[in-house]
Amino acid sequence: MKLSVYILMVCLLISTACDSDFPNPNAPTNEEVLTSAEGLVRLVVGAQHRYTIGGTSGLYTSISAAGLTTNELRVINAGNAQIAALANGGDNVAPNNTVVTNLWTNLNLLRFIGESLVENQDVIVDIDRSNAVQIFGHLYQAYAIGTMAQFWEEVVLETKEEAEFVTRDQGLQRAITLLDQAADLLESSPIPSSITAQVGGNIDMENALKALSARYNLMLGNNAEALAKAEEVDLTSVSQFLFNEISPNPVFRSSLITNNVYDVNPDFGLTGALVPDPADERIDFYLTPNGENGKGFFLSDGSPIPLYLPAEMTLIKAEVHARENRLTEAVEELDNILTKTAADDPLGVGANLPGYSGPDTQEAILLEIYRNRAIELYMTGLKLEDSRRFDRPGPNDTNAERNRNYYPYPVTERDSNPNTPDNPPV
Amino acid sequence: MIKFYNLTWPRSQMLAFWLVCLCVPLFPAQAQQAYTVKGRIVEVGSNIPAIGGTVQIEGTNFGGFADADGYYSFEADVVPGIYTLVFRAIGYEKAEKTYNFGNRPEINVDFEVNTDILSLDEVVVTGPSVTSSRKQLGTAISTIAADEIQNVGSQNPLAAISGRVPGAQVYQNQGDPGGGFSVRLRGVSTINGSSEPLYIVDGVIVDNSSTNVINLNADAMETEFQAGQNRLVDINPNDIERIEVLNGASATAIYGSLASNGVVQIFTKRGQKGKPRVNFSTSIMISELRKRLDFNMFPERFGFPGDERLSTRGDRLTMIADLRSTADKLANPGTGPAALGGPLVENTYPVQRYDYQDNIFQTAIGTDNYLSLTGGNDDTDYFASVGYSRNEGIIRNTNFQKYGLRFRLNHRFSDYVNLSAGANYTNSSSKDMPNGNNFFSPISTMIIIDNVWDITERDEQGNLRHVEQQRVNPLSVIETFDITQETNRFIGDMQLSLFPVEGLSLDYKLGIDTYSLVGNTLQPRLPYEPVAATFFPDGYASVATSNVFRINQDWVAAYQTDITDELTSTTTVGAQLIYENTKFSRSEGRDLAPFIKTIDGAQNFFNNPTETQTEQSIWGYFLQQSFGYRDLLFLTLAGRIDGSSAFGKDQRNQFYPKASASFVLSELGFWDGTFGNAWNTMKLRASYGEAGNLTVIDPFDRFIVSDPVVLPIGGGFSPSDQLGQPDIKPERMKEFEIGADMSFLNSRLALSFTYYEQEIEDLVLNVNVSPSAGGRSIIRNAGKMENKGVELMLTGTPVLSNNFGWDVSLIYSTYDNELSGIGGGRAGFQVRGGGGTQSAIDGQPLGTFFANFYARNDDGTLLLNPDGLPQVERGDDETGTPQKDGNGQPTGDPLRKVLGDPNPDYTLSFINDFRYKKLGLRVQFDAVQGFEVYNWNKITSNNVGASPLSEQELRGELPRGWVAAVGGFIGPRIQEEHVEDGSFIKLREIALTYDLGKVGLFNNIGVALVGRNLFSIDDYTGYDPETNSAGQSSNVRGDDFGNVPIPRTYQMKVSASF
Repeated sequence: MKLSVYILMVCLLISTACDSDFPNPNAPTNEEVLTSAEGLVRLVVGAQHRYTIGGTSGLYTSISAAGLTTNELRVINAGNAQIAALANGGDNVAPNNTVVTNLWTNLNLLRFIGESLVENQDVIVDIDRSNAVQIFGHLYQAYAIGTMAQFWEEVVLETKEEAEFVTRDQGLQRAITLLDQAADLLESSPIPSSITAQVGGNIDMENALKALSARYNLMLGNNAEALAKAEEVDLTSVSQFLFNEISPNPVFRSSLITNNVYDVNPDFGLTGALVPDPADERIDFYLTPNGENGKGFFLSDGSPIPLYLPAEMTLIKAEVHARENRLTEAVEELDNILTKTAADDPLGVGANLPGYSGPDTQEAILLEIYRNRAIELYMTGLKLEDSRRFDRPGPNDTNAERNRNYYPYPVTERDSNPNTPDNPPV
Repeated sequence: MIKFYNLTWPRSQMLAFWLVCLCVPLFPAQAQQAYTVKGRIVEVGSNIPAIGGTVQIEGTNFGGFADADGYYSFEADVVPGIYTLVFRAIGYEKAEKTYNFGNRPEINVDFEVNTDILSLDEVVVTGPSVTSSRKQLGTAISTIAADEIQNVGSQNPLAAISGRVPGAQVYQNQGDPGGGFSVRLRGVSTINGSSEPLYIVDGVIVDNSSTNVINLNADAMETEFQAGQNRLVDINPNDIERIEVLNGASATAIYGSLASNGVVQIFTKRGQKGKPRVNFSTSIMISELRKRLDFNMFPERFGFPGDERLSTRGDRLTMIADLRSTADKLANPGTGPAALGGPLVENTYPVQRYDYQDNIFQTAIGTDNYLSLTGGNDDTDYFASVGYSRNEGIIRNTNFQKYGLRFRLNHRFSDYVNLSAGANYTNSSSKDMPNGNNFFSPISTMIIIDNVWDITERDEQGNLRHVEQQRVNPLSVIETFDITQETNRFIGDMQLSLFPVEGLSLDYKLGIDTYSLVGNTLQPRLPYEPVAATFFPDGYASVATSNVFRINQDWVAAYQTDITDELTSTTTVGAQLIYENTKFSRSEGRDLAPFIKTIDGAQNFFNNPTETQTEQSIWGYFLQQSFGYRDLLFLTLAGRIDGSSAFGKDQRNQFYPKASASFVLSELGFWDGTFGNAWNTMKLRASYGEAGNLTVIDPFDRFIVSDPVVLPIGGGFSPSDQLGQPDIKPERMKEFEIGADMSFLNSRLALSFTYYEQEIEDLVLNVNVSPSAGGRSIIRNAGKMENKGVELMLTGTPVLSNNFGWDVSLIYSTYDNELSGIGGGRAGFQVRGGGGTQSAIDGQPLGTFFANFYARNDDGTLLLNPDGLPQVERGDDETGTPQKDGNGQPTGDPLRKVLGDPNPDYTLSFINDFRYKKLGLRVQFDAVQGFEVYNWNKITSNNVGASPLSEQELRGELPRGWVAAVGGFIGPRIQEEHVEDGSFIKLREIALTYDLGKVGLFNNIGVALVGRNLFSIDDYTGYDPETNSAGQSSNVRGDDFGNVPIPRTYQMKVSASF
């Protein structure tokens, strides 16, 4: 009898060998996503989500950082120490500044997703779908690197441990190459409707690739290429990021709604000769009547934010002509901006002013182009780059219009990457 | 492979049980005779009864308890012969008497017993179903008895550990009535996981997690704090018979991967043989705010007067804000510091100031009622209890209530088979307020506004009115927020013990712990504006549920045999299986429709509903071999092989060894002759053990995952920026301890001493990676942590007589925690998000405050800037070298340095127990010394103008801008100002008890008056240095951000038995 008890005990022990591998029901592994056609297509949406959603997103931090550094924005509650540091500029922008760190991190992660799309596109059998995924991969890589080059002197082109840095010019060149490759692919295989059904048709790929190429060529000083690309962009085409309550417009949700973080500066933060004409109808588009609250593309959780404004192309053309001393053509393009009405613009931005009547000098026309960029392209994250390119008074000049030239490299990068360059003095 | 957790196996298991049970009556019967065994037990040389002890016939299950007068009596059916009667009781040495059970049915045996001040004969539990007498142990194990637990005046059983266990730091993290407790045995022992010990109730591993179901919108700083209740609060302290605490790996190795933080074993009351006995107790509790803060009461304010409600824009943040006029801004354009600070306005205007504390706090009432019933015969005994308690919090409109039912049945089928089954059901519910660490908790709302608004003022419709722009009126929180959580929990166990042959015992134990926790939050729309959107002026509703199921099983076989007359051997072999699954889901919405109190009123579902499911299994096998040479020398060797599904495949199986030795010198022949009664006992012990920490990673943390995301264009996957590592392994603690236990002067004085060293290897860290490598952070094994300390316990009985007794105990423990090999240079890496005040730094303890500090002159006075304001020290922050410019002013980056840490240098408690006849007085002081607290409340109340420092600036005693300079608005924040010494000595407990003895129907009526946390001696300027806004978090402690202070509590309790 006793024996039977022992046997029972032993049996119980043996019968209860246990399961040791539980699948994770909450999320797929990266590997699962990257090795399946369905997963990879959904990664395209993931890339856009990564860049556009939340207070750590590249979209939010690039608009915020550029705006605070160039006086577009003002801090409402100085208790927000990190954004107050950006508004104060100079030394106050420490290498561990969270806005700067989030911007750097997000752009690197966006580039990484772009690379993953390209590297794994062959898991999709259908060649058009595969190419489409690759095109998105190129677009996001280029966009990440190009944006990085607007804020840092040196950038990273490829995701890896102890990644090397290259100059921002090399970065912009790489971005242009990626955009060109994407354009070539697109020409041979248009994005199939089965893809747009899944990832959205909110980006007009053909025009977006050209527009970004024009932007980066201009930054590089490749005036002819910039002009050529800008000329090719269809000015009625709109590419924009879409939002809703679950994935809200980050600038509205994280800042403008609360009136406790940052908001706009009156007159777009422009002073002296740059102050906008009170008749400029773009004031009403971007600012509330008291001039203290922002509107623009940040009116609600669901307001779309454009990837680029078509008017940027016109301004690029004007600037290229002006820099090449073709002043008549420059003024012609400038007037297209000045006289444009809201109804003429696919995004509803219109100055509705008389044409240019200032001095017929390169300097004066460039200044007017700069002023119009500052107004037309308000809160697009481009102003730091513009302020440098137009050689506006910098951090150590009197009447400084920007408080930094470039940002320091985040501590998180330097801590485990020995290739991180020295921080710029300012 | 058969899944042991699916529905099919428990059925087969049950079948097995009943098969076993059916077998029982078939054991051969022998010629037995009925005896009645009785007698009285008193302390040696006195008439003082030894109560609560048991007398048992050795080798059988027959035995009985001694009553309050020391008398015992029980029935026994045994074969006539010579038997040994064994007396055992906590606090007394074991005593044995041999008696010939002959023809007379009545056996009368009296005992005179020695007090066992070191409790060396007490049997303690050292592993799953593994017991040992303290004498044999190589480690220190503490026991807390029921009478020390009953009158604690807290709903959380962990309060009873406070001050009573060497090496244990016990903190109440929030002063809410259900507020979380954390226990750190020998300090923190992990960064990424939990430092809470393993909790075992009657052999069942119970969940003690702190799941946030009501503050989903409140973690303003994204710090992932573990604020709120810890689930051990579901255990009723009245049900507890004793608590045993195993401090570290050298004691806990055979608990394996679960045990590196130590083990707390709770044993609930069991049935007592005899007539049914009823115990009843009821108590009333009164709690109040122990300390009020000083607020600025100077009737002026900087700025220019606005309207009568001070609602003009210039009236915000007058201590620090840019109050320049528009004209001034136009005249001085430009960005840079001038845009923010500029010269602060010097103008002041008269205001009325308020002390809001009366609007927030209340005197709280509570009650605790408990009824238990016990009884049984020789074969079967039972214990049943029911409890109900309800306590208000000192924050208005908060409370905590608990219903509990407990039942335990022991049945002896024969001399060879025992079965015990227990079931416990608890319903805990609370009405809460938002936790600290955000700006809409009751205390934060009070501190983040200048105290110049009449918060009680209402508009014509009776709605409260606005306070400072963007902020929430504190009374809106108190009066309208409706935040509740409710737990339904079952803990049950079934234990089968077999004694098939002499010396062999087989134990099987099955335990189930499962609960469902639901939290509901309703923050109605605020009737005023403007309020920052992050504070949900449009209303907020959420519901979250957490379901946890855990089953654990132990199989243990122990065989004890005498190898020779003097050498005994005990072999224990066992296996343990644990399976758990959790399901957590949450939904949130804002923009509320009126009338509706649930999430159905939400019109904006701004966050996707989420659900997280986990599954995990843990399996372990252990072997322990002990040898005893007389009562002189004991040696134990043990090892456990352990695995968990949470870890990488190659790291699944871990081996945890243990070795310990105990040498009772006083058993040597010469001892008594040499020292006599001056030095009664001398035991030396040493032990080494290893154990793991499984809590450091969640079951699926090792995977690199892609998170599901949704955009208007469609759904997608976004690769997580936290990278995983497939070959992650558990943290491993290696611990060595040595110690001695001594008793002197006829066992009237005892000293226990322990020195320990712990090394926690393979710390699992979430370390930053370079973003250019494709992530934000990665979970990996890196670095190690060391803990060292000394534990001293001195207990004595200065006076002992029939009428008067006085017991003293002094417990002193030191702690020294140090990290190494984790990298990150002199700054290490930050462990607290949102402000990053606390860091993990090589060579420093965990949670070190590494932050900016005042620039000072050589003589230590503040080095002021040219405007006469304080400033941070500057220089090269990579090396920590200060730099000065030509004018002697600091230059370079803001410097940071170590400003303290939240881990105490030592804890000390001093307990005096006086007894005069039936009157008892117990006084316990707890001291926690040598730790720092980061006082966030001070920053906010300074900056808004409500603090004493702001008052000094208003009065002109400090230059204008001082607060702005300290707060970080003229140069970086000077964090040194906010790091404060938290050392305290608290009158933890004072209890006056009186036993009326037999009154009418009642066997005994007792009355107790208990005061808890009546006063504190400390220099802390905030409410309470003991609380922590990070709750039970392992790495963030000493963080005071809107914490609810621990109240002063008075309790009156009446208990009766009949």
